[in-house]
Amino acid sequence: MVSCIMGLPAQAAGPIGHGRPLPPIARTAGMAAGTDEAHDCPADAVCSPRHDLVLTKLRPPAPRAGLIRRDSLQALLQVGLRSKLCLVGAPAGFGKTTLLTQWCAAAGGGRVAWVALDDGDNDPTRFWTYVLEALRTVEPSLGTAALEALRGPRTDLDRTVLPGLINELSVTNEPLVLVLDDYHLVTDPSCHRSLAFFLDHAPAGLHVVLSTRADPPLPLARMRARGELGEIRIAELEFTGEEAAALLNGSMGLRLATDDVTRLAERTEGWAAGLILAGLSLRGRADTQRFIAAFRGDSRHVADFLGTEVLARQPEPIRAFLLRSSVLERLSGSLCDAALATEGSAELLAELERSNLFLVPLDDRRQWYRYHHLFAELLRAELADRDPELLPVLHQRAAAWHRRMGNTGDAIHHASTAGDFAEAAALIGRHWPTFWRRGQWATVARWLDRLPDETIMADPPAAYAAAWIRGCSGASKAETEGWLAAVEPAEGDGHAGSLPDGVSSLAFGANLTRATLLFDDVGRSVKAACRALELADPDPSPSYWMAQSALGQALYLSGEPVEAQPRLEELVVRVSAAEQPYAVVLGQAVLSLVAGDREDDRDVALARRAAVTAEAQGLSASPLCAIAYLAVGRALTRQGELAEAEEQLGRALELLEIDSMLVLRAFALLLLASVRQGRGDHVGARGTVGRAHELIERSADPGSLRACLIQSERLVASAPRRRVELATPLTERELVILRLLPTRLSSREIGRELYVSVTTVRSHVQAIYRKLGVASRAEAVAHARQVGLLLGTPPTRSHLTSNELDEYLISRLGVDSGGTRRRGVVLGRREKRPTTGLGANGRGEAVNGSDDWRPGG
Amino acid sequence: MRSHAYEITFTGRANGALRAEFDDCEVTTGPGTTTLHAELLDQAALTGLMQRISDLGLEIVNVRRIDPPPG
Repeated sequence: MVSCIMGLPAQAAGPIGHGRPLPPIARTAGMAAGTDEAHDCPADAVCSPRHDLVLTKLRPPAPRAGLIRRDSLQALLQVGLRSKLCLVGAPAGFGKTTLLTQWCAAAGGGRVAWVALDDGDNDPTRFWTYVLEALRTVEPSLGTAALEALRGPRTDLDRTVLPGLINELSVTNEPLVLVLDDYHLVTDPSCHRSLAFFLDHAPAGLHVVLSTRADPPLPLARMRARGELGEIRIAELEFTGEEAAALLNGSMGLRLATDDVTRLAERTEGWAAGLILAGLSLRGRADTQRFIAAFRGDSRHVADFLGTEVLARQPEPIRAFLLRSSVLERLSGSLCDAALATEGSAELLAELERSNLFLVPLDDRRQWYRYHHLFAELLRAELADRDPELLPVLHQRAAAWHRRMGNTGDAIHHASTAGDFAEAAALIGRHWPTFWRRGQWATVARWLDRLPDETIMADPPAAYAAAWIRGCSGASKAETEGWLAAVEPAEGDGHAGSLPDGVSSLAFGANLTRATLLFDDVGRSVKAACRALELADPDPSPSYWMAQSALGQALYLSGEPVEAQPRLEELVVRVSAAEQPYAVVLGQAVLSLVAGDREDDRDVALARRAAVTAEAQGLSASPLCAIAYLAVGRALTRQGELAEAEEQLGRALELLEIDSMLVLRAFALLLLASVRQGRGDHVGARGTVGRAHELIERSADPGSLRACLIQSERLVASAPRRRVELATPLTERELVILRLLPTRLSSREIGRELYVSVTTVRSHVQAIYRKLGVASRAEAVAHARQVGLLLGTPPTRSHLTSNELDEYLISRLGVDSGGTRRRGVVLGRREKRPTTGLGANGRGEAVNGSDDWRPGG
Repeated sequence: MRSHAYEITFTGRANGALRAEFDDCEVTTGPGTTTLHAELLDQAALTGLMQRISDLGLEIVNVRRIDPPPG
């Protein structure tokens, strides 16, 4: 690897063929060929056996009895639906879902795709799987390739799934409506980002409707300005006097005087849930006047007052049922019987639906229901107040029922909520590979996040899951080592059998993890890989080959390519990508690097094959396969294809931002530095080498990278210093915009790229011209190149998203003194940190904190 | 439409990238804090904006609605 850093190569001999990605193939890819559980799915099960899809999420709730028609509102909705995005936004209980359900029924089963979202959909894979399945209920042939791509363990949404889907949608001529109900439950930033991307590129015939409690973090202002946004908000959803009368006197059969109706409508401010609760409280009550007067006079929140009223008027058995069943997200007769340790729930549910007690049927067979969200919240609060010691019991019973039915996600949720963390950990340890293989690793990560560390540590398979998932998501070496220590407690102790992903033993699994996740210690990975191979079964399994490929990678990085080669050559011949995709990709990539060292031009083909394999197996967004793009970048550098090399390396670096890939990141940076050097970007090359230097300096064992680093530093030091200091330096925002000036993007398009308005862009551009002392875009570009502010050639998108820009911005941006330091805030991109979260809890006044804000300063 | 002007204050002084994130609001800084001023259509818009702030890991310390002066 001493020759890892090249000087400028000679002219390329001929055109380089560009690999074309193979069509995705059906396979049971994964870390090892484990066994999928056979799901015994009786009719009571919530899920569909094939996909673990909850089918009731893909249809609007069946229309309830007693809904009134709101014709003028329907008309407004009809208008709103003409826009690309229609936002139906208001706090809980305003009748959003009802409105859309009624519209759906009236549209007569037209081309409407429905997804009822819940907070489990905060996993981009799961989110888009449901969206695709919903679209397929309208167009069954749609999105086949996209669904396949989603099933890979780590798919790149923006590159692999969405473009294909968007293209397919453009072909279908007839309009199609996609409804996403309860979008406020989606908080994951990649979901928002991918949806924004989808909306941006969606074809003309597609109309998306979001029903939500709060304005979502999508570019609404921009869409509003472009006339692409239709809105139905609180003001529209409030019940008018006539509608209130139709509801109370018509549908609920009360006989209230007009005055009384008006007073109720005023007091509830047209809030649908409030009106219904008031109606329920008035039923069968002789003293309507007294009630209304008291209602008007009471300063408690409407929801509080009425909720208590309604509950108080129920007979005790019903009240108990309502309170206890409120802990369930979805209710069925059988589930309620089990959770409440009672009988006859099915009939009771049917009865409750008839009396309009906020029970929403989820299917036509009246098997599954849920409570209206607001009512469920009231019930839960009341239950927590009244009988808190019941809660864990109820959840535990629910968990047991779901476990019997094979609904893993629900079982884990209830077990965790019950505080039965050991049970949850056991379930996770048993089932996680299935979810990993389906690409829903974010779901597993969320499950693990709910468990205390001690519980995870006490369950070796769960600790193993934690080590892999968190190690691949950015956990530090110390943390990962912590979990691995729990995986193999003592020699020859405990869990000797094979793990659910086919790994033959815990000790093997732990060492395999250490071998693959390099962190900053190449030597450690070599040792761990050798140890794993010692422990492996004599009959090579897919995980055996995984260990071999990890060893090959580690050997290469420690400067022993010759040793690595024969193992890997055997591997790529004997192992099929379907069986063990990671090993094959890794093997091909390292073989390419080895070939490149020898100046063997076959390295390009080998690297391209690695990248193609990764994509075909749905791994294009997995950090474990980033080395494929690294190898392509390196091979292209040798051929002189510097522009594409930079792009590929940028792509690799995006995936290598995590701690567990530190050594590879340093390697990629060194390669990138030589590319930039070759392209004349001496400032950039120096900066990149500097970053690599930092990483290598603090590495425990960077292998042969230290020698590479010295070489690189010598190379960039010899380059001429061309940078001239400006009188007034450009701000970081101006720099970002400056980098886009050489492209063909208009100011408006630049604004779109950066999620800012065109006016903002223009004012920054003026400032740039002023500081550079120029008068036009072309002059600005030329001058900036001269003083070393710009690269010699136009930047590609990878420049904006690379780690480099992030870190530069972060070092300059700042929430100093008391605020939170954040990673990865780039214009237009977001990453989530755990927060306390703000829930919308019905109507209320705005929060008032202390008045210590003072203007100026 | 019942839109109101709102001020939301959080700890930390906004710099370039933060102002860019919230370029649909007016941003002012105070001692150790930043305040966003925005014209919001209704409660749902307010909740959405607060969620955006909170999603960035920022600590909200004050939310105020500016009522127009009487008369």
